[in-house]
Amino acid sequence: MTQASGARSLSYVLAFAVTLGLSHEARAERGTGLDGSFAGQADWMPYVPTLSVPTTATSSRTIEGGTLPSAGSLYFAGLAVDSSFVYRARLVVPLFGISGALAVGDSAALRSSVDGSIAEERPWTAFRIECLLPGIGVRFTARRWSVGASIRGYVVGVGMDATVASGGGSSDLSRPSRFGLGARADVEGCRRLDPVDRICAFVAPSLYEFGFVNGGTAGLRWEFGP
Amino acid sequence: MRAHRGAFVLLVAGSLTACNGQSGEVNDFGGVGAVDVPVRRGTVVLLSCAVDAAQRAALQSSPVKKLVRDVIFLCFQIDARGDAQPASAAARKAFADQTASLSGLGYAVKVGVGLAGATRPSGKPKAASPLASASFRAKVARSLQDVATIGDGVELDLRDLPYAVRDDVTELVIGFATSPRPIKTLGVLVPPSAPNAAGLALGNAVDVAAIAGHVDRVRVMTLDYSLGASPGPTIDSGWAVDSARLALAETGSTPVDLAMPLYGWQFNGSSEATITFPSARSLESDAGAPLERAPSGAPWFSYSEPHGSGGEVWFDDATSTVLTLAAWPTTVLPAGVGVVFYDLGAEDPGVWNALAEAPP
Repeated sequence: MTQASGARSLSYVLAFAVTLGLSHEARAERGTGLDGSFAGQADWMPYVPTLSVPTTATSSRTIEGGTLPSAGSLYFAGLAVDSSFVYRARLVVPLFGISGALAVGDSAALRSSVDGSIAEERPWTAFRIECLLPGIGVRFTARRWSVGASIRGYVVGVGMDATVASGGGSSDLSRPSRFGLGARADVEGCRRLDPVDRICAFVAPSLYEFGFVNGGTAGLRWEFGP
Repeated sequence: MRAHRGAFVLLVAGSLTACNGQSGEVNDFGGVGAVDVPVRRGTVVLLSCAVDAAQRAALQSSPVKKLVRDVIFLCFQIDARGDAQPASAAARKAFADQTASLSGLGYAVKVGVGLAGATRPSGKPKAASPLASASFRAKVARSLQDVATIGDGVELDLRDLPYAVRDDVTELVIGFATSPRPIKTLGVLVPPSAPNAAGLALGNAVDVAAIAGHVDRVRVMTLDYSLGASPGPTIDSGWAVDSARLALAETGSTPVDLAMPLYGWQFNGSSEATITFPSARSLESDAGAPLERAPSGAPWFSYSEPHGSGGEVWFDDATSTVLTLAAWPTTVLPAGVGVVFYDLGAEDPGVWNALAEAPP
Protein backbone atom coordinates (compact mmCIF):
# COMPACT_ATOMS: atom_id res chain seq x y z
CA MET A 1 0.00 0.00 0.00
CA THR A 2 2.78 2.26 0.98
CA GLN A 3 4.75 1.31 -2.11
CA ALA A 4 1.71 1.81 -4.30
CA SER A 5 1.08 5.17 -2.75
CA GLY A 6 4.69 6.15 -3.26
CA ALA A 7 4.61 5.03 -6.88
CA ARG A 8 1.40 6.97 -7.41
CA SER A 9 2.94 10.06 -5.91
CA LEU A 10 6.01 9.67 -8.09
CA SER A 11 3.88 9.25 -11.16
CA TYR A 12 1.96 12.40 -10.27
CA VAL A 13 5.20 14.33 -9.91
CA LEU A 14 6.53 13.00 -13.19
CA ALA A 15 3.27 13.77 -14.90
CA PHE A 16 3.32 17.30 -13.55
CA ALA A 17 6.93 17.74 -14.61
CA VAL A 18 6.24 16.44 -18.10
CA THR A 19 3.17 18.61 -18.36
CA LEU A 20 5.14 21.61 -17.20
CA GLY A 21 7.91 20.84 -19.63
CA LEU A 22 5.54 20.41 -22.52
CA SER A 23 3.76 23.54 -21.53
CA HIS A 24 7.04 25.44 -21.45
CA GLU A 25 7.99 23.99 -24.81
CA ALA A 26 4.62 24.94 -26.15
CA ARG A 27 5.09 28.51 -24.93
CA ALA A 28 8.54 28.58 -26.46
CA GLU A 29 7.11 27.40 -29.72
CA ARG A 30 4.54 30.11 -29.56
CA GLY A 31 7.40 32.60 -29.00
CA THR A 32 6.57 33.92 -25.57
CA GLY A 33 9.22 35.17 -23.20
CA LEU A 34 11.82 37.76 -22.52
CA ASP A 35 13.99 39.08 -25.32
CA GLY A 36 17.31 40.85 -25.01
CA SER A 37 19.45 42.75 -27.49
CA PHE A 38 22.70 44.54 -28.07
CA ALA A 39 22.92 47.13 -30.83
CA GLY A 40 25.52 49.19 -32.59
CA GLN A 41 23.82 52.27 -33.91
CA ALA A 42 24.21 55.63 -35.58
CA ASP A 43 22.07 58.59 -34.49
CA TRP A 44 21.30 61.72 -36.41
CA MET A 45 20.06 64.85 -34.68
CA PRO A 46 19.21 67.56 -37.22
CA TYR A 47 18.53 69.87 -34.31
CA VAL A 48 20.70 69.61 -31.23
CA PRO A 49 18.86 71.41 -28.44
CA THR A 50 20.06 74.50 -26.63
CA LEU A 51 22.08 73.42 -23.64
CA SER A 52 21.64 74.51 -20.06
CA VAL A 53 24.67 75.84 -18.22
CA PRO A 54 24.63 75.94 -14.44
CA THR A 55 26.25 78.79 -12.55
CA THR A 56 29.98 78.34 -12.97
CA ALA A 57 32.88 80.00 -11.20
CA THR A 58 35.85 80.66 -13.48
CA SER A 59 39.25 82.01 -12.56
CA SER A 60 38.09 85.58 -13.22
CA ARG A 61 34.36 85.72 -12.55
CA THR A 62 31.23 83.83 -11.64
CA ILE A 63 29.06 83.13 -14.64
CA GLU A 64 25.38 82.98 -13.94
CA GLY A 65 23.59 80.02 -15.43
CA GLY A 66 22.20 80.35 -18.91
CA THR A 67 21.83 78.53 -22.17
CA LEU A 68 24.13 77.85 -25.07
CA PRO A 69 22.65 77.91 -28.57
CA SER A 70 21.96 74.86 -30.66
CA ALA A 71 25.00 73.30 -32.27
CA GLY A 72 22.87 72.51 -35.29
CA SER A 73 23.00 69.03 -36.76
CA LEU A 74 25.15 66.24 -35.34
CA TYR A 75 25.77 62.57 -35.98
CA PHE A 76 26.48 60.09 -33.22
CA ALA A 77 27.58 56.47 -32.99
CA GLY A 78 27.03 54.28 -30.00
CA LEU A 79 25.74 51.15 -28.35
CA ALA A 80 22.46 50.10 -26.86
CA VAL A 81 21.28 47.34 -24.54
CA ASP A 82 17.58 46.64 -24.55
CA SER A 83 14.94 44.20 -23.39
CA SER A 84 11.43 43.32 -24.39
CA PHE A 85 8.70 40.85 -23.67
CA VAL A 86 7.37 38.84 -26.61
CA TYR A 87 3.98 37.20 -26.53
CA ARG A 88 3.28 34.39 -28.96
CA ALA A 89 5.93 35.70 -31.33
CA ARG A 90 3.58 38.45 -32.39
CA LEU A 91 3.03 40.98 -29.69
CA VAL A 92 6.19 42.77 -28.59
CA VAL A 93 6.35 44.90 -25.50
CA PRO A 94 9.63 46.83 -25.39
CA LEU A 95 10.64 47.08 -21.74
CA PHE A 96 13.69 48.93 -20.57
CA GLY A 97 17.02 49.69 -22.14
CA ILE A 98 19.87 52.10 -22.21
CA SER A 99 22.02 53.57 -24.94
CA GLY A 100 24.98 55.86 -25.17
CA ALA A 101 26.56 57.53 -28.17
CA LEU A 102 29.36 59.93 -29.00
CA ALA A 103 29.55 62.52 -31.76
CA VAL A 104 31.17 61.47 -35.04
CA GLY A 105 32.18 63.40 -38.10
CA ASP A 106 33.65 66.83 -38.61
CA SER A 107 32.30 69.68 -36.59
CA ALA A 108 33.67 73.13 -35.95
CA ALA A 109 33.70 75.03 -32.69
CA LEU A 110 30.64 77.16 -32.20
CA ARG A 111 31.00 80.56 -30.60
CA SER A 112 28.36 82.29 -28.60
CA SER A 113 28.18 83.79 -25.15
CA VAL A 114 26.87 83.06 -21.71
CA ASP A 115 26.33 85.81 -19.15
CA GLY A 116 28.54 88.18 -21.12
CA SER A 117 31.51 85.85 -21.53
CA ILE A 118 32.40 84.54 -24.97
CA ALA A 119 31.72 80.82 -25.05
CA GLU A 120 32.93 78.03 -27.28
CA GLU A 121 30.88 74.88 -27.74
CA ARG A 122 32.78 71.84 -28.94
CA PRO A 123 30.34 69.65 -30.82
CA TRP A 124 32.93 66.96 -31.46
CA THR A 125 32.76 66.16 -27.75
CA ALA A 126 28.98 65.79 -27.78
CA PHE A 127 27.34 62.76 -26.25
CA ARG A 128 23.84 61.48 -25.93
CA ILE A 129 22.36 58.95 -23.55
CA GLU A 130 18.94 57.39 -23.58
CA CYS A 131 16.92 55.49 -21.03
CA LEU A 132 14.49 53.50 -23.11
CA LEU A 133 11.00 53.16 -21.67
CA PRO A 134 8.26 50.59 -22.30
CA GLY A 135 6.24 50.68 -25.49
CA ILE A 136 4.22 48.42 -27.74
CA GLY A 137 4.87 46.67 -31.03
CA VAL A 138 4.26 43.70 -33.31
CA ARG A 139 6.38 41.12 -35.06
CA PHE A 140 5.63 38.98 -38.11
CA THR A 141 7.67 35.87 -38.76
CA ALA A 142 8.10 33.85 -41.93
CA ARG A 143 10.50 30.95 -41.62
CA ARG A 144 13.81 32.43 -40.57
CA TRP A 145 12.84 35.98 -41.38
CA SER A 146 10.83 38.42 -39.37
CA VAL A 147 9.86 42.05 -39.45
CA GLY A 148 8.73 44.09 -36.52
CA ALA A 149 7.61 47.55 -35.59
CA SER A 150 7.18 49.23 -32.28
CA ILE A 151 6.72 52.60 -30.68
CA ARG A 152 8.11 53.64 -27.34
CA GLY A 153 9.17 56.53 -25.18
CA TYR A 154 12.54 57.38 -23.75
CA VAL A 155 14.40 59.89 -21.68
CA VAL A 156 17.24 61.49 -23.62
CA GLY A 157 20.15 63.57 -22.48
CA VAL A 158 22.51 65.53 -24.74
CA GLY A 159 25.63 67.41 -23.73
CA MET A 160 29.04 68.55 -24.85
CA ASP A 161 32.14 70.31 -23.59
CA ALA A 162 32.20 74.09 -23.62
CA THR A 163 34.53 76.79 -22.42
CA VAL A 164 34.32 80.52 -21.80
CA ALA A 165 37.00 83.05 -22.56
CA SER A 166 38.71 84.33 -19.47
CA GLY A 167 41.28 86.99 -20.25
CA GLY A 168 43.76 85.49 -22.68
CA GLY A 169 42.76 81.93 -21.83
CA SER A 170 39.62 79.98 -21.18
CA SER A 171 37.80 78.16 -18.41
CA ASP A 172 35.68 75.05 -18.65
CA LEU A 173 31.98 75.39 -18.16
CA SER A 174 30.28 72.80 -15.98
CA ARG A 175 29.22 70.35 -18.64
CA PRO A 176 26.31 71.93 -20.51
CA SER A 177 23.50 69.49 -21.17
CA ARG A 178 19.80 69.16 -21.79
CA PHE A 179 17.45 66.33 -20.86
CA GLY A 180 14.01 65.65 -22.21
CA LEU A 181 11.40 63.08 -23.10
CA GLY A 182 11.23 61.52 -26.54
CA ALA A 183 9.16 59.07 -28.52
CA ARG A 184 10.22 57.02 -31.49
CA ALA A 185 9.03 54.36 -33.87
CA ASP A 186 11.25 51.35 -34.51
CA VAL A 187 11.12 49.20 -37.62
CA GLU A 188 13.33 46.13 -37.85
CA GLY A 189 14.01 43.30 -40.22
CA CYS A 190 15.62 40.19 -38.73
CA ARG A 191 17.06 36.88 -39.76
CA ARG A 192 17.13 34.08 -37.25
CA LEU A 193 20.57 32.52 -36.94
CA ASP A 194 19.61 29.70 -34.62
CA PRO A 195 16.68 28.97 -32.30
CA VAL A 196 17.76 31.75 -29.99
CA ASP A 197 19.75 34.36 -31.92
CA ARG A 198 18.68 36.85 -34.55
CA ILE A 199 20.53 39.60 -36.33
CA CYS A 200 18.42 42.60 -37.16
CA ALA A 201 18.74 45.80 -39.07
CA PHE A 202 16.62 48.59 -37.68
CA VAL A 203 15.58 52.13 -38.35
CA ALA A 204 14.04 54.21 -35.57
CA PRO A 205 12.83 57.64 -36.65
CA SER A 206 12.31 60.08 -33.84
CA LEU A 207 8.72 61.19 -33.51
CA TYR A 208 9.56 63.71 -30.86
CA GLU A 209 12.87 64.70 -29.34
CA PHE A 210 13.29 68.37 -28.40
CA GLY A 211 10.95 68.95 -31.33
CA PHE A 212 8.88 66.87 -33.71
CA VAL A 213 10.59 64.50 -36.16
CA ASN A 214 14.10 65.26 -35.00
CA GLY A 215 16.22 62.70 -36.84
CA GLY A 216 16.50 59.12 -35.67
CA THR A 217 18.60 56.06 -35.16
CA ALA A 218 19.65 53.18 -37.40
CA GLY A 219 21.92 50.24 -36.88
CA LEU A 220 22.41 46.55 -36.38
CA ARG A 221 20.98 44.67 -33.45
CA TRP A 222 21.77 41.26 -32.08
CA GLU A 223 18.67 39.86 -30.43
CA PHE A 224 18.34 36.73 -28.38
CA GLY A 225 15.12 35.24 -27.12
CA PRO A 226 11.87 33.86 -28.49
CA MET B 1 29.87 32.45 -31.69
CA ARG B 2 27.77 34.92 -29.71
CA ALA B 3 30.87 36.54 -28.42
CA HIS B 4 32.05 37.07 -31.98
CA ARG B 5 28.79 38.72 -32.94
CA GLY B 6 28.96 40.96 -29.93
CA ALA B 7 32.50 41.92 -30.81
CA PHE B 8 31.35 42.80 -34.32
CA VAL B 9 28.76 45.22 -32.99
CA LEU B 10 31.32 46.82 -30.72
CA LEU B 11 33.75 47.12 -33.61
CA VAL B 12 31.19 48.88 -35.79
CA ALA B 13 30.36 51.37 -33.07
CA GLY B 14 33.99 51.88 -32.20
CA SER B 15 34.94 52.48 -35.83
CA LEU B 16 32.22 55.05 -36.24
CA THR B 17 33.37 56.85 -33.14
CA ALA B 18 36.94 56.81 -34.38
CA CYS B 19 35.80 58.70 -37.47
CA ASN B 20 35.28 61.75 -35.31
CA GLY B 21 37.00 64.61 -37.09
CA GLN B 22 37.39 67.00 -34.14
CA SER B 23 38.07 69.72 -36.65
CA GLY B 24 37.66 72.44 -34.08
CA GLU B 25 40.25 71.07 -31.70
CA VAL B 26 43.63 72.00 -33.08
CA ASN B 27 44.31 75.66 -33.49
CA ASP B 28 41.20 76.14 -35.56
CA PHE B 29 39.20 79.11 -34.44
CA GLY B 30 36.34 78.08 -36.63
CA GLY B 31 35.08 81.58 -37.41
CA VAL B 32 32.42 83.60 -35.74
CA GLY B 33 29.37 81.98 -37.26
CA ALA B 34 26.05 83.74 -37.16
CA VAL B 35 26.01 85.95 -34.11
CA ASP B 36 23.61 88.70 -33.26
CA VAL B 37 24.94 92.10 -32.28
CA PRO B 38 22.29 94.12 -30.49
CA VAL B 39 21.82 97.68 -31.60
CA ARG B 40 23.21 100.02 -28.95
CA ARG B 41 23.76 103.73 -28.77
CA GLY B 42 27.23 104.24 -30.21
CA THR B 43 29.94 106.75 -29.40
CA VAL B 44 33.42 107.12 -30.82
CA VAL B 45 36.32 108.69 -29.00
CA LEU B 46 39.08 110.52 -30.84
CA LEU B 47 42.26 111.15 -28.94
CA SER B 48 43.17 114.36 -30.72
CA CYS B 49 41.50 117.68 -31.43
CA ALA B 50 42.04 117.29 -35.17
CA VAL B 51 40.43 114.80 -37.49
CA ASP B 52 42.78 113.15 -39.95
CA ALA B 53 41.76 111.95 -43.38
CA ALA B 54 41.19 108.35 -42.34
CA GLN B 55 39.08 109.36 -39.35
CA ARG B 56 37.05 111.75 -41.47
CA ALA B 57 36.48 109.07 -44.07
CA ALA B 58 35.29 106.70 -41.37
CA LEU B 59 32.96 109.28 -39.86
CA GLN B 60 31.52 110.02 -43.31
CA SER B 61 30.89 106.35 -44.04
CA SER B 62 27.44 104.85 -43.83
CA PRO B 63 28.29 102.08 -41.32
CA VAL B 64 29.72 104.55 -38.82
CA LYS B 65 26.82 106.92 -39.28
CA LYS B 66 24.52 103.97 -38.64
CA LEU B 67 26.34 102.86 -35.49
CA VAL B 68 27.51 106.09 -33.92
CA ARG B 69 25.60 109.02 -32.47
CA ASP B 70 28.17 110.83 -30.33
CA VAL B 71 31.71 111.84 -31.15
CA ILE B 72 33.97 112.70 -28.23
CA PHE B 73 37.17 114.62 -28.80
CA LEU B 74 39.17 113.56 -25.78
CA CYS B 75 41.86 116.16 -26.29
CA PHE B 76 41.56 118.72 -23.50
CA GLN B 77 43.34 118.50 -20.18
CA ILE B 78 43.05 120.57 -17.04
CA ASP B 79 46.58 121.43 -16.08
CA ALA B 80 48.10 121.97 -12.65
CA ARG B 81 47.04 125.63 -12.72
CA GLY B 82 43.43 124.77 -13.41
CA ASP B 83 43.48 125.87 -17.03
CA ALA B 84 42.11 123.79 -19.88
CA GLN B 85 44.70 122.98 -22.51
CA PRO B 86 44.99 123.65 -25.39
CA ALA B 87 44.16 127.18 -24.45
CA SER B 88 45.27 129.23 -27.44
CA ALA B 89 42.57 131.04 -29.33
CA ALA B 90 43.81 129.64 -32.63
CA ALA B 91 43.66 126.05 -31.38
CA ARG B 92 40.18 126.60 -29.93
CA LYS B 93 39.03 128.18 -33.19
CA ALA B 94 40.37 125.27 -35.24
CA PHE B 95 38.75 122.84 -32.88
CA ALA B 96 35.44 124.65 -33.03
CA ASP B 97 35.57 124.39 -36.82
CA GLN B 98 36.16 120.65 -36.56
CA THR B 99 33.21 120.15 -34.25
CA ALA B 100 30.98 122.22 -36.48
CA SER B 101 32.03 120.13 -39.43
CA LEU B 102 31.13 116.89 -37.66
CA SER B 103 27.89 118.34 -36.37
CA GLY B 104 27.07 118.90 -40.01
CA LEU B 105 27.40 115.14 -40.54
CA GLY B 106 24.73 114.57 -37.94
CA TYR B 107 26.85 113.71 -34.93
CA ALA B 108 26.53 115.14 -31.44
CA VAL B 109 30.05 116.38 -30.78
CA LYS B 110 31.29 116.31 -27.21
CA VAL B 111 34.41 117.86 -25.76
CA GLY B 112 36.36 115.45 -23.56
CA VAL B 113 38.37 116.97 -20.74
CA GLY B 114 40.83 115.04 -18.61
CA LEU B 115 41.22 115.96 -14.95
CA ALA B 116 44.27 113.88 -14.11
CA GLY B 117 46.62 116.80 -14.66
CA ALA B 118 44.75 118.85 -12.09
CA THR B 119 45.24 116.31 -9.33
CA ARG B 120 49.00 116.29 -9.22
CA PRO B 121 50.50 118.36 -6.44
CA SER B 122 53.43 120.30 -7.69
CA GLY B 123 56.58 121.00 -5.76
CA LYS B 124 56.63 119.72 -2.24
CA PRO B 125 56.27 116.07 -1.45
CA LYS B 126 53.21 115.24 0.63
CA ALA B 127 51.55 118.36 -0.77
CA ALA B 128 47.79 118.11 -1.08
CA SER B 129 46.20 117.91 -4.48
CA PRO B 130 45.23 121.33 -5.84
CA LEU B 131 41.69 120.00 -6.16
CA ALA B 132 41.44 120.08 -2.38
CA SER B 133 41.20 123.86 -2.67
CA ALA B 134 37.75 125.32 -3.26
CA SER B 135 39.21 128.23 -5.16
CA PHE B 136 41.12 125.86 -7.44
CA ARG B 137 37.98 123.88 -8.10
CA ALA B 138 36.18 127.11 -8.94
CA LYS B 139 38.92 127.94 -11.42
CA VAL B 140 38.66 124.52 -12.99
CA ALA B 141 34.92 124.98 -13.28
CA ARG B 142 35.44 128.29 -15.07
CA SER B 143 37.87 126.59 -17.45
CA LEU B 144 35.31 123.93 -18.14
CA GLN B 145 32.71 126.61 -18.80
CA ASP B 146 34.99 128.09 -21.43
CA VAL B 147 35.52 124.74 -23.13
CA ALA B 148 31.83 124.02 -22.95
CA THR B 149 31.08 126.78 -25.40
CA ILE B 150 32.31 124.42 -28.10
CA GLY B 151 30.29 121.43 -29.26
CA ASP B 152 27.19 119.80 -27.86
CA GLY B 153 28.42 118.73 -24.47
CA VAL B 154 31.29 118.06 -22.13
CA GLU B 155 32.64 114.69 -21.10
CA LEU B 156 34.81 114.70 -17.99
CA ASP B 157 37.47 112.02 -18.00
CA LEU B 158 37.71 110.82 -14.41
CA ARG B 159 40.18 108.03 -15.02
CA ASP B 160 43.66 107.90 -13.56
CA LEU B 161 42.67 109.92 -10.53
CA PRO B 162 44.11 109.08 -7.11
CA TYR B 163 41.71 107.90 -4.46
CA ALA B 164 42.74 110.86 -2.29
CA VAL B 165 40.89 113.32 -4.52
CA ARG B 166 37.70 111.26 -4.73
CA ASP B 167 35.64 113.68 -2.62
CA ASP B 168 37.16 116.75 -4.26
CA VAL B 169 36.36 115.43 -7.72
CA THR B 170 32.84 114.64 -6.61
CA GLU B 171 32.40 118.23 -5.43
CA LEU B 172 33.88 119.57 -8.64
CA VAL B 173 31.62 117.49 -10.87
CA ILE B 174 28.48 118.23 -8.90
CA GLY B 175 29.36 121.93 -8.71
CA PHE B 176 29.93 122.14 -12.44
CA ALA B 177 26.86 120.05 -13.23
CA THR B 178 24.59 122.27 -11.18
CA SER B 179 26.04 125.57 -12.32
CA PRO B 180 24.52 127.47 -15.22
CA ARG B 181 26.40 126.27 -18.27
CA PRO B 182 26.07 126.71 -22.00
CA ILE B 183 26.26 123.01 -22.74
CA LYS B 184 23.52 120.61 -23.51
CA THR B 185 24.89 117.49 -21.86
CA LEU B 186 27.46 116.43 -19.30
CA GLY B 187 28.94 112.96 -19.21
CA VAL B 188 31.70 111.31 -17.23
CA LEU B 189 34.22 108.69 -18.24
CA VAL B 190 34.89 106.49 -15.21
CA PRO B 191 37.19 103.54 -14.56
CA PRO B 192 35.62 100.07 -14.28
CA SER B 193 34.90 98.69 -10.83
CA ALA B 194 35.27 94.97 -11.54
CA PRO B 195 38.78 93.63 -10.94
CA ASN B 196 40.90 93.42 -14.06
CA ALA B 197 43.50 90.79 -14.89
CA ALA B 198 45.88 92.35 -12.38
CA GLY B 199 43.19 92.15 -9.72
CA LEU B 200 42.73 95.92 -9.60
CA ALA B 201 39.29 97.44 -9.22
CA LEU B 202 40.01 100.98 -10.33
CA GLY B 203 36.49 102.26 -9.95
CA ASN B 204 36.91 103.08 -6.27
CA ALA B 205 38.63 106.33 -7.17
CA VAL B 206 35.35 107.83 -8.36
CA ASP B 207 32.15 108.12 -6.34
CA VAL B 208 29.83 107.15 -9.17
CA ALA B 209 26.80 106.91 -6.92
CA ALA B 210 27.21 110.52 -5.83
CA ILE B 211 27.91 111.84 -9.32
CA ALA B 212 25.45 109.84 -11.38
CA GLY B 213 22.39 111.84 -10.47
CA HIS B 214 24.01 115.03 -11.74
CA VAL B 215 25.22 113.88 -15.15
CA ASP B 216 23.53 112.72 -18.32
CA ARG B 217 25.59 109.62 -18.99
CA VAL B 218 28.18 107.51 -17.19
CA ARG B 219 30.65 105.86 -19.52
CA VAL B 220 32.48 102.95 -17.94
CA MET B 221 35.81 102.73 -19.71
CA THR B 222 36.30 98.99 -19.88
CA LEU B 223 39.71 99.21 -21.47
CA ASP B 224 43.21 97.88 -20.85
CA TYR B 225 42.04 94.71 -19.07
CA SER B 226 45.47 93.09 -19.11
CA LEU B 227 47.51 96.15 -18.28
CA GLY B 228 49.82 95.45 -15.35
CA ALA B 229 49.35 91.71 -15.70
CA SER B 230 50.69 89.18 -18.17
CA PRO B 231 50.08 89.94 -21.86
CA GLY B 232 46.46 89.53 -22.78
CA PRO B 233 43.46 91.09 -24.45
CA THR B 234 42.53 94.76 -24.15
CA ILE B 235 39.03 93.84 -23.06
CA ASP B 236 37.33 90.84 -21.53
CA SER B 237 33.64 90.84 -22.36
CA GLY B 238 32.63 89.23 -19.06
CA TRP B 239 34.68 91.72 -17.07
CA ALA B 240 32.98 94.52 -18.96
CA VAL B 241 29.57 93.09 -18.08
CA ASP B 242 30.50 92.84 -14.42
CA SER B 243 31.74 96.44 -14.54
CA ALA B 244 28.54 97.60 -16.18
CA ARG B 245 26.43 95.82 -13.58
CA LEU B 246 28.34 97.47 -10.78
CA ALA B 247 27.85 100.84 -12.44
CA LEU B 248 24.18 100.23 -13.12
CA ALA B 249 23.68 99.44 -9.46
CA GLU B 250 24.97 102.91 -8.61
CA THR B 251 23.66 105.09 -11.39
CA GLY B 252 19.94 104.64 -11.01
CA SER B 253 18.21 106.02 -14.08
CA THR B 254 21.33 107.62 -15.54
CA PRO B 255 22.32 105.74 -18.70
CA VAL B 256 25.55 103.78 -18.79
CA ASP B 257 27.97 103.04 -21.61
CA LEU B 258 30.67 100.40 -21.91
CA ALA B 259 33.87 100.91 -23.87
CA MET B 260 35.15 98.79 -26.73
CA PRO B 261 38.83 99.35 -27.56
CA LEU B 262 39.76 99.87 -31.18
CA TYR B 263 43.49 99.67 -30.40
CA GLY B 264 45.80 97.07 -28.95
CA TRP B 265 48.76 96.71 -26.65
CA GLN B 266 52.34 95.80 -27.34
CA PHE B 267 53.85 94.03 -24.35
CA ASN B 268 57.60 94.23 -24.64
CA GLY B 269 59.31 92.89 -21.57
CA SER B 270 58.37 95.19 -18.74
CA SER B 271 57.13 97.98 -20.99
CA GLU B 272 53.69 98.33 -22.47
CA ALA B 273 52.57 100.63 -25.26
CA THR B 274 49.41 101.04 -27.26
CA ILE B 275 49.44 99.99 -30.89
CA THR B 276 47.04 100.52 -33.75
CA PHE B 277 45.62 97.73 -35.84
CA PRO B 278 47.63 98.68 -38.96
CA SER B 279 50.84 98.89 -36.91
CA ALA B 280 50.15 95.54 -35.29
CA ARG B 281 49.59 93.86 -38.63
CA SER B 282 52.69 95.49 -40.03
CA LEU B 283 54.77 94.29 -37.07
CA GLU B 284 53.31 90.83 -37.42
CA SER B 285 54.22 90.77 -41.09
CA ASP B 286 57.75 92.05 -40.48
CA ALA B 287 58.34 89.56 -37.69
CA GLY B 288 56.91 86.69 -39.69
CA ALA B 289 54.96 85.77 -36.60
CA PRO B 290 51.97 83.48 -36.91
CA LEU B 291 48.79 85.21 -35.88
CA GLU B 292 46.80 83.37 -33.27
CA ARG B 293 43.46 83.94 -31.66
CA ALA B 294 42.62 83.76 -28.01
CA PRO B 295 39.38 82.05 -26.95
CA SER B 296 37.83 85.53 -26.86
CA GLY B 297 38.66 85.91 -30.54
CA ALA B 298 41.30 88.56 -29.89
CA PRO B 299 44.22 88.20 -32.32
CA TRP B 300 47.71 88.13 -30.90
CA PHE B 301 51.22 87.15 -31.83
CA SER B 302 54.61 86.93 -30.20
CA TYR B 303 57.79 88.14 -31.77
CA SER B 304 61.47 88.28 -31.04
CA GLU B 305 64.01 90.90 -31.97
CA PRO B 306 67.56 90.34 -33.21
CA HIS B 307 69.16 91.26 -29.89
CA GLY B 308 67.10 88.70 -28.10
CA SER B 309 64.24 90.65 -26.63
CA GLY B 310 60.73 90.27 -27.84
CA GLY B 311 57.20 90.49 -26.74
CA GLU B 312 53.58 89.95 -27.52
CA VAL B 313 51.04 92.08 -29.30
CA TRP B 314 47.36 91.81 -28.52
CA PHE B 315 44.74 93.77 -30.38
CA ASP B 316 41.20 93.60 -31.68
CA ASP B 317 39.87 93.24 -35.16
CA ALA B 318 36.47 92.93 -36.77
CA THR B 319 36.06 89.32 -35.62
CA SER B 320 36.88 89.90 -31.98
CA THR B 321 34.90 93.14 -31.87
CA VAL B 322 31.80 91.47 -33.26
CA LEU B 323 32.20 88.58 -30.80
CA THR B 324 32.60 90.95 -27.88
CA LEU B 325 29.58 93.05 -28.73
CA ALA B 326 27.56 89.92 -29.45
CA ALA B 327 28.33 88.76 -25.92
CA TRP B 328 26.25 91.64 -24.61
CA PRO B 329 22.70 90.73 -25.63
CA THR B 330 19.90 92.69 -24.05
CA THR B 331 19.22 89.72 -21.77
CA VAL B 332 22.63 90.33 -20.24
CA LEU B 333 22.88 94.12 -20.46
CA PRO B 334 19.84 96.40 -20.76
CA ALA B 335 19.20 97.85 -24.18
CA GLY B 336 19.92 101.31 -22.81
CA VAL B 337 23.58 100.49 -22.25
CA GLY B 338 25.62 102.08 -25.02
CA VAL B 339 29.02 101.34 -26.48
CA VAL B 340 31.97 103.72 -26.66
CA PHE B 341 34.38 102.80 -29.45
CA TYR B 342 37.66 104.09 -28.13
CA ASP B 343 40.43 105.58 -30.27
CA LEU B 344 38.95 106.09 -33.71
CA GLY B 345 41.65 105.65 -36.33
CA ALA B 346 43.37 102.77 -34.57
CA GLU B 347 40.80 100.22 -35.66
CA ASP B 348 40.63 97.40 -38.15
CA PRO B 349 39.07 99.16 -41.16
CA GLY B 350 36.71 96.24 -41.56
CA VAL B 351 35.18 96.57 -38.12
CA TRP B 352 32.46 99.05 -39.08
CA ASN B 353 31.09 97.03 -41.96
CA ALA B 354 31.23 93.86 -39.86
CA LEU B 355 29.22 95.51 -37.09
CA ALA B 356 26.78 97.19 -39.44
CA GLU B 357 26.13 93.93 -41.28
CA ALA B 358 25.76 91.75 -38.18
CA PRO B 359 22.12 90.84 -37.52
CA PRO B 360 20.71 92.71 -34.52
